[in-house]
Amino acid sequence: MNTKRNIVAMLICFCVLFILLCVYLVYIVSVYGIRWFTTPYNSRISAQKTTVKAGDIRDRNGLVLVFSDDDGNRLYTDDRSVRRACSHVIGDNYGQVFGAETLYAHYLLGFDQSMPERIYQSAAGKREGSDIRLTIDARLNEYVYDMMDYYQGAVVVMNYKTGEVLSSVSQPTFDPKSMADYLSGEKELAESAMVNRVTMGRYTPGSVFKLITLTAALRYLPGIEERVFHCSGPLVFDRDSGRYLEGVQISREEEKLFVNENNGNERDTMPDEDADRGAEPPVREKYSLVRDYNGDYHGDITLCEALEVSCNTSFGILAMEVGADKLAQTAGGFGIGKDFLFDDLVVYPSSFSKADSDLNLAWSGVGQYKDTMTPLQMCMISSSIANEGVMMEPKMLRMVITNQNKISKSVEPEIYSKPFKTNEAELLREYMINAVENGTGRRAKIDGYTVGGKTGTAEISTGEGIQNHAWFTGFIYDEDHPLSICIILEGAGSGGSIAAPIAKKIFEKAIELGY
Amino acid sequence: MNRLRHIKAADLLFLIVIFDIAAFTLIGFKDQIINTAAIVFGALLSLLLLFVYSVVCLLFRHIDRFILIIVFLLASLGLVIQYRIGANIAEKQLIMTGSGFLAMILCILLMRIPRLFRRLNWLLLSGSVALLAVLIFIGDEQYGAKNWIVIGGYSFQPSEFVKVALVFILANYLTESRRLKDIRPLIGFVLTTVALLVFERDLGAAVLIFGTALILFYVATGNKFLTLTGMGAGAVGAALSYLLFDHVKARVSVWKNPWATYSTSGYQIAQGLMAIASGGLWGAGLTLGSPKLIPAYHTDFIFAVICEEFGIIAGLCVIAFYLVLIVRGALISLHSSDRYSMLLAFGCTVMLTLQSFVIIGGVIKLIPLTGITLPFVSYGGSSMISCMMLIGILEGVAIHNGEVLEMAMNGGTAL
Repeated sequence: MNTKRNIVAMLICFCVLFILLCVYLVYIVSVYGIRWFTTPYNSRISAQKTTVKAGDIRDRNGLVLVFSDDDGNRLYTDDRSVRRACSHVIGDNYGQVFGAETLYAHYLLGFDQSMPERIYQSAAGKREGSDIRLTIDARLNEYVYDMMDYYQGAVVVMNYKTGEVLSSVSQPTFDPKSMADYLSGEKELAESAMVNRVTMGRYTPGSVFKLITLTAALRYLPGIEERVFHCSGPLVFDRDSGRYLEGVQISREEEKLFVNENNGNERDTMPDEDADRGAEPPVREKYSLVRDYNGDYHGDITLCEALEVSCNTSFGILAMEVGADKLAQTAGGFGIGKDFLFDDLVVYPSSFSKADSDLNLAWSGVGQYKDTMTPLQMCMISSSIANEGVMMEPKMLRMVITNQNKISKSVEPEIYSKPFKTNEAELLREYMINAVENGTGRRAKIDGYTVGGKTGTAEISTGEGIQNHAWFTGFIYDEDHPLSICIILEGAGSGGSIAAPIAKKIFEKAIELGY
Repeated sequence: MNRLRHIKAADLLFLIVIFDIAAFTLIGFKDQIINTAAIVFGALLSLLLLFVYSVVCLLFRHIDRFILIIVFLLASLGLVIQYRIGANIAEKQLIMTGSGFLAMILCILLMRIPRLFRRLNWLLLSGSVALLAVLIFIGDEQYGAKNWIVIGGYSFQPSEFVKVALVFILANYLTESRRLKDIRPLIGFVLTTVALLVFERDLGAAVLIFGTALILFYVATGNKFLTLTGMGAGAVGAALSYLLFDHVKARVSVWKNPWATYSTSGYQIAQGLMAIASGGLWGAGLTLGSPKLIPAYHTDFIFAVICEEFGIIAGLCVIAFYLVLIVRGALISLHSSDRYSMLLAFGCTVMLTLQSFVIIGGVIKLIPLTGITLPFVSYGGSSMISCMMLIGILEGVAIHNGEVLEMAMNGGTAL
């Protein structure tokens, strides 16, 4: 009978729906479970602290950063500069900063213990959580902290073969020991000191973004490696429509009028001082330019040389030729715009906005316009270039040691993605090594090692004018020292002169420490 | 063969009793002072289940025992969680569970009067509309929906009983006619009740009634075109309500990202997800979770509490229990001797299916949340009684099927 057949059909639908419920429940908990658990909102974590003695947090070599006394109070290492340097890595006991205290509360507070173990421990007196060791080297962190001096910003150093984060420093720092005082207002805290800039700082990338534009060019413009670019002045765009005016050139004299113009971040119309000067509007109001950081002209250059000197006009042209869609696609391939679901870290997504005009597209190709990037994301891109095109998942938890001294979990390298095709990574690596050998990154050169890198000077408009963030991202191309780095120093100046030498020193220190 | 089956069901009942006694003993020994009340409660619950099981099985030989067992299990689980949250609500709920069993038995008995509910069709129809219409004037608002009537200190939710009436009304109209023009009163009834429920902001009940009506219409007529039209109309209605009502818009944005509005509208879902994640695979253990952090912990969000304390594994089991209930319900429907019983039994099954799917899916963020109870588990008298009535109808059909089969086997003529 028809009705019976329909009933059977509906029954099958219902079965599918309920199986879907089961599958979804398992999926969502296994993918997001830890993330939901570790939200600062989860008051179960703080409730657990009253019944469970939290485990120690140590650095990768066993140096104790945080421990608990018998009354369950959280105590910190006596070394003040280590505390400061590792402040964002450690986090705090009040769930304010997203550090190890919150991220790994699961282990520290014994949420991972099995039922018999819980019962056994409860019977024996007080429950104790597991100890953890981070992948961070506290001494390296301290060194980086010193190197950053008074600059605000972030530095992250990774092992690009395993994805282990060896150092992660965000300035300004706080003292985890004094969190209660900060919260009560007894002690002053620098503005935004609780933000971990390594994972949550969304910076304008500036020229370091050229690595992505370059990848897109290699992928979508065949034969581009052989092309010769003519850099004989800024790219000229119609001011109103943002259309690229090919063939229009302006003189150096005229260009000087644009020197203080904001580089693509926001384009307010300038005050109309000269509006009624005559029939022909002056160039200043007719055109918008994409120009170089220092107004350099580079002459006839190849693609490799364009990266070497970080030529904005060449990369502006590349971005326009590739097009907004394909550029966005390439950026997406690196994880830009995606919500990373890493096991060990919570990383804010970087972003790339498709430009609506030639002008904005050219700016977005050189990392201005509305592009944003977290330092860790940039470090992952450099890492994948050095690691033969394979992007490893960043790791910060080296091992979990239970109170019976058993290692219940230890870090295992995991491939996150393979963002490159065929020999793209190889070419990018060569170009970046060249940029350090001969180009803007030459101050990062280390004798006896092959270093590759890319500098960046992101121009940010603030209330007072334009501020330059110094970027450097790079790697040591060496079997025994697979290190990658990303540095951003806010308002420090040019990447090549400020950030690159610091990268060199940090690399040297890391090699000295045996990484 | 028959005997073997009965023994198995009784064994399962034995397991449930062990679960109840163990759980309530655990609750009783939670604190330094032994809480004898909890243990007494567990014993009472066990006795109630054993008593109901023996009485019902004695009275009605052909009753489907597995459905009973599943209902017992779900109700036990609900009571354990509720007692763990607060003894007073569990005590109320135990009384409601008892009343639910009475309602079930009453339904089974009434089902034995041939054609009773078919003759009462117009009464059910007009009664339902009147109840919902009256709500607009005298309804009390609780949890954002104006769907409660308070009489002498007792509050009840008329929409729960409209759901039961709907099953009878649907079966009645769809038994005879497959043509659209003959079921006009039915269509009018469904649209009126849905409109009234949406107006009273009881979206959950509206979804259930619309969904059940549509599925039963499809099953009975096999008319794909009209079913799809109905689905389309439902989708348009949903889109319209999204555009018109802010509370619907809020639900959808909370579903997309509950963390964005954590401190306001996203709080409940976010807390539920946190609870589920905190429990992990094996759960924090009974009495060791923090269920009170979740708003509506004992009603709509009880599934999250089960997951936190008993683990994801228990959550999966609960889903599986509902699936068993659904399959048994569908089997009763398929074995029916007449079309009316078939539709009646399947109507009950569909209602329970949708209700459990919508609320579990809402809690785990598979679909936008609509506040309804988890059948047999959630706290709530109206919900418990109406769900038990649906079980009563199902069992009524099952008993009838058994009798028809027995007669046929004994060489008698079918009823």
